[in-house]
Amino acid sequence: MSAPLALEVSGLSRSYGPHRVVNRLDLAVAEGDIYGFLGPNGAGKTTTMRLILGLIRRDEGQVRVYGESDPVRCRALIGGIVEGPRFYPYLSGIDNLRVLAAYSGGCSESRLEELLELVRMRDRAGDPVRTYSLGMKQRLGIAQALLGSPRLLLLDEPSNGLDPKGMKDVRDLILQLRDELGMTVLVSSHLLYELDLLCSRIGIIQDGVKVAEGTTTELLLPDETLESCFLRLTEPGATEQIR
Amino acid sequence: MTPPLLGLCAAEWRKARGRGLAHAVKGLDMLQQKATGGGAMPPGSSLGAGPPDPFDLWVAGEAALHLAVFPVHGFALLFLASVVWAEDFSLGTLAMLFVRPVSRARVFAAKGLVLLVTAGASIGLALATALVLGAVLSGFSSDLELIETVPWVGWMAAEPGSAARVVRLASGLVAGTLLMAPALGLASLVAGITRSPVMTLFGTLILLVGDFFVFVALSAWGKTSLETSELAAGLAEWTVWGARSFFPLHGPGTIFSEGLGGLCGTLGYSVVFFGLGLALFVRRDVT
Repeated sequence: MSAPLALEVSGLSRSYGPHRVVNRLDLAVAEGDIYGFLGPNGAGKTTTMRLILGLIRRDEGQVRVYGESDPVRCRALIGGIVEGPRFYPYLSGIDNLRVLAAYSGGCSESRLEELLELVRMRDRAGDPVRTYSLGMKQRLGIAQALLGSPRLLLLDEPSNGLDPKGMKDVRDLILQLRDELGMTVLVSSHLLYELDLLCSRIGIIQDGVKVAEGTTTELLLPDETLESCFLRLTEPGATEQIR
Repeated sequence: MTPPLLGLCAAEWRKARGRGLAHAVKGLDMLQQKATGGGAMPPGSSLGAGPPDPFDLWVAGEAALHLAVFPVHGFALLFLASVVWAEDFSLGTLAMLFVRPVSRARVFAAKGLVLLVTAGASIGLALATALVLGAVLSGFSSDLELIETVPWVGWMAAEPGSAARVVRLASGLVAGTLLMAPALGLASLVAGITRSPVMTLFGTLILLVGDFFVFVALSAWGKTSLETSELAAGLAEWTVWGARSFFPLHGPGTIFSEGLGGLCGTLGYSVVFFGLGLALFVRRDVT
């Protein structure tokens, strides 16, 4: 029996003027999966994330999170970072979490400490965020995404701008969240190597259209690397064939 | 679990406090009272030239209300409002708030409430500063006949009962807070359009100053003998500035019997500006 769906997206579309950025997109992410959302720059990954989180309005389509379609109730089940975490630079890391926790329905101080410990930010929690490195902000971003105990994490390019050590830290953290807390993760990136190491399933998007979906074994041709598979599926004209 | 509105207000307050702006508004009001002698010597007063100073505590408080509401407080509060309404747009933190299980209308309400409460609290604090300073500088003189012609506070000469004066002082505090509502609402609307704290501050100021000039022009027109002068005078009262006419009435007159038009105008502008600001806040995409 297959696992129940954590996220179900059907017929999702959004246009900016005449340009259709996301075009009748369908996605199904099973509970406990780490789903890699792959696509070149401008393919519609971030717009899809924003649509799922309700940050922008959808022209058509449906989003269900654990069967729930009410936007506010959906957001209670989701934690997310879209296009890099943004914080109040003049507040400390823990004060930023306190502010965001209030918007998540409240959170005890011990839970905040726990989250800071989880992302290894406890030592610097009292410092203003403006003094943090990019990697520290990403880790704090993951901590804020976990406020309110979500069941589904949406991470938009969480390794962007990080050095190899930072990338490994984030990767390990995502795996830990799946393995220890049983979370489902939808992670978008154009870093093929990262997703290859991390994801149980991968969906590839090009020009707002999903061009392929499956495990890496299912997607790759014999002797093909993920990179060449990605280039094959996202080459000009590939989308037209799908349509 | 839907976050309680009070929790959201506390979070907004934490941000304003972190910026140091909330304290700055209150601090400026208190400093102003100190600079003007705690309301013991309001501008235009011929008093204070020689002893005995006939001001008592409540007179000092009344003078403080006028001083707090007009010159510094409005600007300081507008500065805070620009940051509260627009900073989340410019920092990109609005996306971090909107991914939470809370409706956008609730976020808007928390921001508006924090601003209105800060407006009231800072006027109240200015009032308290004036009362303390007034007591220190002037003592408890009850010889109020001498202040009959002094602007703002002269009505107190004919109102010897402390209880009545305190009630009117309290109504002045509420009226002073209400007076700020249209400007705060306008700032929410400008923030929704410009999404920038600087543009919000200057945009709101420009619109308010523009409204003031319309008021001046219509008032001047209303004093001419032209056929339309009556209409112009009537319209002047319906500008944002003109609708403030109910504020001085918290003293000598009664707001509801004499200043209902201005009160309705102020409330109307508040509802319209906050309503439009809310519509933009709720409907616009966060990109």
